[in-house]
Amino acid sequence: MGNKFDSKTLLAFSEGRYSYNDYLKVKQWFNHIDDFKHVKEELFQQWQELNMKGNVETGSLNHIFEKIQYNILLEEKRKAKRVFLWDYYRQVAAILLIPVLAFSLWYYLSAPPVQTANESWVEINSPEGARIQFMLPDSSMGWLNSGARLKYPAIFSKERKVELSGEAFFNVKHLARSTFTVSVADMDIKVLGTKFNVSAYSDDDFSEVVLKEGKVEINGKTGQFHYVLSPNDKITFNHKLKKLSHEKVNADSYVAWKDGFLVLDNEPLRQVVGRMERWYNVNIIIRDETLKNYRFKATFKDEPLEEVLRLMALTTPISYQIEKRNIDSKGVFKKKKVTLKLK
Amino acid sequence: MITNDNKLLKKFKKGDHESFEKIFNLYSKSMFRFSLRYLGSKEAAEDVVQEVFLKIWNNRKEIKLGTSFKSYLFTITLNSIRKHFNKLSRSNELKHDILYDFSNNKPIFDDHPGYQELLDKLDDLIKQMPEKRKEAFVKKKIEGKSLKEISEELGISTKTVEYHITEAMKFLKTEFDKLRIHGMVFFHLFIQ
Repeated sequence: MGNKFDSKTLLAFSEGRYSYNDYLKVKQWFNHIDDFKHVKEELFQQWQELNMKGNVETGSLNHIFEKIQYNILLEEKRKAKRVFLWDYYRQVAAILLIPVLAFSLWYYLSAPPVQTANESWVEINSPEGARIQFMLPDSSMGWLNSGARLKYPAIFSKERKVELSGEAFFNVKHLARSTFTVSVADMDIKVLGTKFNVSAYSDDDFSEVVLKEGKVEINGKTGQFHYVLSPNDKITFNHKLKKLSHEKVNADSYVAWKDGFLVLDNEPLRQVVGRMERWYNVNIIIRDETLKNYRFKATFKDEPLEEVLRLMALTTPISYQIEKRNIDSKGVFKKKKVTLKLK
Repeated sequence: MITNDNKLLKKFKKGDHESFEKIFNLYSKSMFRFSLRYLGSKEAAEDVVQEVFLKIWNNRKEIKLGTSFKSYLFTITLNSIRKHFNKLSRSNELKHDILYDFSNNKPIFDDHPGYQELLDKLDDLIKQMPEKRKEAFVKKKIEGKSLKEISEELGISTKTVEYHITEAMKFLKTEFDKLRIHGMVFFHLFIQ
């Protein structure tokens, strides 16, 4: 081959300094790469250097990753031969809670009146599909998200203690020498005066705390852990895997739900679905197993379910179907059922 | 570092999407820049990244741990680059024909080291053309399609296609003449 390899030409070419004849040379080297061992070596050298330098000065390539994921999903879809039919026959809860009023909260006193006032508890329930604001006896404020339940004593003792299941945002009033403890299934969150978000639904595998302002202390009940959070810290405890993880996040996106925003922050679909089920009071079924790991990033403000699904289907390889609401044997409307599957 | 990589690869081999994304974040940007160096086209470089990662996903079970992963990644990246390099060569030759026609110092043209700048200038000028004209011109002069094909694709008569191309060539000629008059470095050298 008359065209001998020289590394200067190759390097200059890679930097955009070359003539048309140089281009033709490089073309020949590329076409007959096995005849030009040194080309390969030289290129490998450059490749290593770029890797060492790491990821600098290039814009985000997320859109490429999304395309790749899309293609993977399509391919897996082709392979999968509807093995997942069983998923379709999941149990359906037949209870229907209609959020007639945005505020459908009810109080009741659970303890018998013989007890001292200190020990009588108040419970607030937020039905699925609704979000409600509450105020505690010490004038701490907060919001309860869909399907959450908060229990607190009618009169606080020196130690303020509340019990929570589900998601809530607290804005705790600072009182000198009086701690405020939120107790969820697997941990206690102890604070003085702060703003923070807790999510601990019994049907999720994890509890999650995000701190917006101030400082909170977390003590595990089962996992035996102790942690102090600073603002924008997120701690997640998976009680199934007994795993604690810590992350820096933007706390605002975790408390946006109280203002009517549904924020999906790069979450896998299996998690998104849980949130949407509670948010819209529906049952959502994922037909394709592969979809469960598909990640989403989106923010919706006061959008109806149909619109959110439509937008999801527009930007992802997902199609959806909304089933008509049926009446069960007792004459009660079942929840709306949505099925998601690959296009 | 290597042990960390191995942990990640092990999970990835089992089909873990999260480790796949981590591997993507680790290597995609340098892979993109490496491809861009030799292809000179963002679209083609993006295609390379996409192809390579799809391939390693599909072949994840055969991936070997240890340092060989990086050479493996390099080999498939290089193969993909070579494929795209070849794909681009037809339009590169057509671009060369246009530029060669406009140069007034043909004997040294092919050895002049400012070729990339000329290509960039040409791309830049094409971008400035009105939409329909640009489409007709690119299809004919860069992609090498026939008048008939173009007239069908754009839904206009072959006469109109021809008209657009003549106008586009006139526009390019005036612009390149202007550059010569202003003595832009790379063009200036051609005049000598």
